[in-house]
Amino acid sequence: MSDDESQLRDQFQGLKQEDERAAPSFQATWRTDGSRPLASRPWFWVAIAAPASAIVVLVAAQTLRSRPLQPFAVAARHEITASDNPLEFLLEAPDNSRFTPSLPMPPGWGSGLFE
Amino acid sequence: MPAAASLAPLPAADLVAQIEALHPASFGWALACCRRDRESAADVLQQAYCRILSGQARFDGRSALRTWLFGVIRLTALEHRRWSWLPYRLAMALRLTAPSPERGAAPDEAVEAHEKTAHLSRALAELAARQREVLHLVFYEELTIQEASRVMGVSLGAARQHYERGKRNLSARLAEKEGRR
Repeated sequence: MSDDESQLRDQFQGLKQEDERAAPSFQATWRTDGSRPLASRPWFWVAIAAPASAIVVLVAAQTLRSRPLQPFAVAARHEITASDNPLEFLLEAPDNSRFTPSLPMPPGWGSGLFE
Repeated sequence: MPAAASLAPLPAADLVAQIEALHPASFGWALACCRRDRESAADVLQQAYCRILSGQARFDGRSALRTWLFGVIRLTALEHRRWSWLPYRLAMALRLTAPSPERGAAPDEAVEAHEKTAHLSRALAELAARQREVLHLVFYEELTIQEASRVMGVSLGAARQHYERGKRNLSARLAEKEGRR
């Protein structure tokens, strides 16, 4: 064995001694009841936090995209015409109690006029 | 019939006793397979033991017990690395894991010895996996290159190549780290 190799062997043996001191006991490792608690592992928390934060960001982005940002300004610009009259919808509907328009609600609808 | 195939598997109690005797060496090998990360090494070793207990890995007496056990640990570590690569990188990036061992008050000689092993540990972590494995098996576990090749599942020629390259690379890295001190 060369000097280089015997020097490396000595260093590895030093490492081995340190490892043996730090090794977990056999009884703690050789267990039949599964592994250590997941919560004690950092990767577990990273695995939980990564998808959770991705979901929060997606929901926030979706909410911001679909929400009308200036509802009052839009309502003010809207011109009221005969077809916007909520009374016409009511007269045409066969059963007022079951009438659920799927179209966008005209201005004034649900303001308390027919309650 | 080959002679090795006629060897009967060890009885369970004997097997457990022998595995217990090999436990410190197995932990050292698990460390080498996990880039010297103690947390991962403890996980890998426990998973390997679970496989043996559940019968997923069975010793059939065709090789030495140590060769077989180290092979099980190596395969478990490979699988572990595949599944935990991203979480491990993230944890390292967020400094959730502490790769360097703690240092207490110790005499000068002990501190120096500890620094040497810390250098070796870091230099080993920088080597290619095969080079690290063969050097560990030869210098740490004191196996021959032929035995190491069986544990690693490569030919003797390939193991020799990894050994020579690994030795060169490790010496260069150690010299570099010693120069920085």
